[in-house]
Amino acid sequence: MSDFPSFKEIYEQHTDMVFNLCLNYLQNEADAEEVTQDVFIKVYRQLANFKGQATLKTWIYRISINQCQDFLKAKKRQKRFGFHIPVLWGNPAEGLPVLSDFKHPGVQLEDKEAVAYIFKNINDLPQQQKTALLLKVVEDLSQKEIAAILDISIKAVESLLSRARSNLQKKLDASEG
Amino acid sequence: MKSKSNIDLLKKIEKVSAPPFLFTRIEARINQQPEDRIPIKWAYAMSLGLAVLFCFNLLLIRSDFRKSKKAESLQIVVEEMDLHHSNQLYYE
Repeated sequence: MSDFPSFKEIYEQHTDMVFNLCLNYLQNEADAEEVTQDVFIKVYRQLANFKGQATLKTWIYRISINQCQDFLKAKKRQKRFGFHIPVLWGNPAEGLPVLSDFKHPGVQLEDKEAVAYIFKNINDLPQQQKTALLLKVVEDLSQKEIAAILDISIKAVESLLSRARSNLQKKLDASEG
Repeated sequence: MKSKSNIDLLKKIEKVSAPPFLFTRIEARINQQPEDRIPIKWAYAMSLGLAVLFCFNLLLIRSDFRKSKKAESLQIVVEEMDLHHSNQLYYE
């Protein structure tokens, strides 16, 4: 355990990975920065409890995904209990970030509208499907890595990805009319 | 519109670097809130203490209620049998 990296080293090795994952999950730069901070505070506090059952990268991926999901839940709660008019009038896009919320510095200007549109539909997928799809398509991870992060079998990842792709395509086709 | 919904567009998303000074901000937040969590042992001890206090209160209330009931029934017997606590033989 003596050659275990220090917190600063862990931060330097994983900060871009965490920030990009948060950015793809939340599609907002400010939110991604806030959640990245939360992730590393959690890593710092729980580092003593890390037993090495998974790799450090997998462990940090898991923390990041959980933090992003908690952040989205809190945001949804805030909207629901706040004076948010679209929720009161039953907006079908409830809980989805509206286009003005989309602020992703990794997306090129000419693709911005199209990517925001795809992300809007990805956000509507069940949580597990959304996570698997983002890890595969955007993060470019292997099915084995995704299986380790989500703590499921490779077969389950295959099925998740296939369902996610087909559900997303249905949503895109439906909204395109 | 088909081109708009091409999932492969997501593969074109570029990786970006984390904002500068993020580590400084994280460090500041770590130092700001050193230990906002109560240790689990303390939480257990406190809840156990509260439970004991609650049970003790219940017992006290119950025994108080029994005592008052007992005194009440004794008073009824004394009144009905015309018993007096006083040692005086003659009433004035």
